[in-house]
Amino acid sequence: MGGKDRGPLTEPMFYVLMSFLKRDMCGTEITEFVARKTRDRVRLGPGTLYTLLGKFQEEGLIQETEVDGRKRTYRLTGKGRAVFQEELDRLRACLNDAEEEI
Amino acid sequence: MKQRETLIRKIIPVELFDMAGLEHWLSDMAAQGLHLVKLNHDTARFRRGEPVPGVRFGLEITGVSDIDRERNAAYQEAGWTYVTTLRNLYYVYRTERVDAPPLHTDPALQSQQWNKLYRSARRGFVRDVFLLVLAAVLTALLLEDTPILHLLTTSAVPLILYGLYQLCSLPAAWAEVQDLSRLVRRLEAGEPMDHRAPYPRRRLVPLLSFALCVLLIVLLVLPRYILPFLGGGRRPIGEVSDFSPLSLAQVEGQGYRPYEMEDPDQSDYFHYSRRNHYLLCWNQWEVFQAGQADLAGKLNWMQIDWYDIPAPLSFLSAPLAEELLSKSMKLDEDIWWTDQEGGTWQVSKHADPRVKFLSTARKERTLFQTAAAATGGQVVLVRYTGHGDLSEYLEDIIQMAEGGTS
Repeated sequence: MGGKDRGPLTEPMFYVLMSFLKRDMCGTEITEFVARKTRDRVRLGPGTLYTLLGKFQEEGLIQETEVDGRKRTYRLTGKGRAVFQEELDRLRACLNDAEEEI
Repeated sequence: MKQRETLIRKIIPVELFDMAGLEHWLSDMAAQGLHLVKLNHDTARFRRGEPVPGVRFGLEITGVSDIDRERNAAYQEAGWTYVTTLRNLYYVYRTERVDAPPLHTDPALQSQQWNKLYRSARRGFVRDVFLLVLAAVLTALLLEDTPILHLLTTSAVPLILYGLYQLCSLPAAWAEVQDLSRLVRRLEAGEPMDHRAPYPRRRLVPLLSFALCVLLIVLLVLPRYILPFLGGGRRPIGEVSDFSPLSLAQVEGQGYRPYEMEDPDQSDYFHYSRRNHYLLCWNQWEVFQAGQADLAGKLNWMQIDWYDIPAPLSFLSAPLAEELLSKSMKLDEDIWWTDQEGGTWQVSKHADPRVKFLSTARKERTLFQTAAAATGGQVVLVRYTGHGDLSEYLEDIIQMAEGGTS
């Protein structure tokens, strides 16, 4: 999901990648960012967040930058930014298509 | 000294893949004051405490390790406390906080985890089918040559029971695979998982299944690795306690000289009896005697195999005797036996009201003879190479088949 072979990103995936655009983030900050950004429309369960961070790390979309006790901070990689941009372009195209029909 | 805590054990009333049912049940237990401590594949152990209504449980599919501390810390921050791990299946978390978010909020992502479980269940099903086929093939191989003898004296019966158990388990295993497949499809479609589902009060299947598994393991190990050592090894022929063995000296007549060991301190390999135990034939005797008669290079010997058949299987005694006789005549490759000498076997059947089967056989123009007899409960086979004629000792053979010592 995300990228040509992945298919579209799910909403939680999209927002988690978005959370890293401006700065490095740890788990709690990501959860707060997503809740604030979506006005609680998208909620991140700890299982979903944990699974996503592991998956994104495995796929090289994010990388760990700092470990402070239990707190782990991550940042977006170039590949992660490209995947996010690709999804953004796809969503824009969808939106344009819809607006043309209205 | 620290006192060991008493835990309450309960059988899990739902299938383990029924996550919603399991979470619901654990919540209900907590509401009754039973707080989960340990979860096994069939049972759960609880500590008794104050009832806490509204406790929620969350199950997470396990990773590579039994305890994932990093994950537990992340979940703790969100209000979920790690409780225990169900090996190779779930991490179990609980929360009393009403505002704690559900563990998973992305069904499509969750479907990838469950898909792994689905594939694992599917592999398990294929493995079960393979084991069933293997059990069937092994049973067929075991029973191929002398089916009744092998049924009574090998692991064939536990193997058949195991095969039947596997066969009975397959429909439930397939239903589980199908349930998982449906769940994965629902998650892929974006439908979130349920966290509450009705469950039965009791489920005896795991208990029965566990008991059957233990029984099967015992039955498979017992005849192969334990029973053979209970018979006591070689012993003097006079110690045969269940029947009076026909004596080689008696059949050979005057001039019989027993074969003697060169070293009298050595165990006598030429005159001995041995008792064997089998699952379905608790007492089986083997009696061997050898003499020094001049038989043109052939050993003068007699072997008696005696079988005690349990009453419910007494209908097998006559077929077993017939099978033993037939096998005995085919044992051309046995170095102690007919030495691949030419000639055909002449079989004589004898009628006697005391036995269900009585027959003697002699390989024409040779010294090789065999006889078998069966009553309701005992079967005897005699193999003999010597000057005598077994058909003259039918009375002794019948007495052996009837059992009891004179």
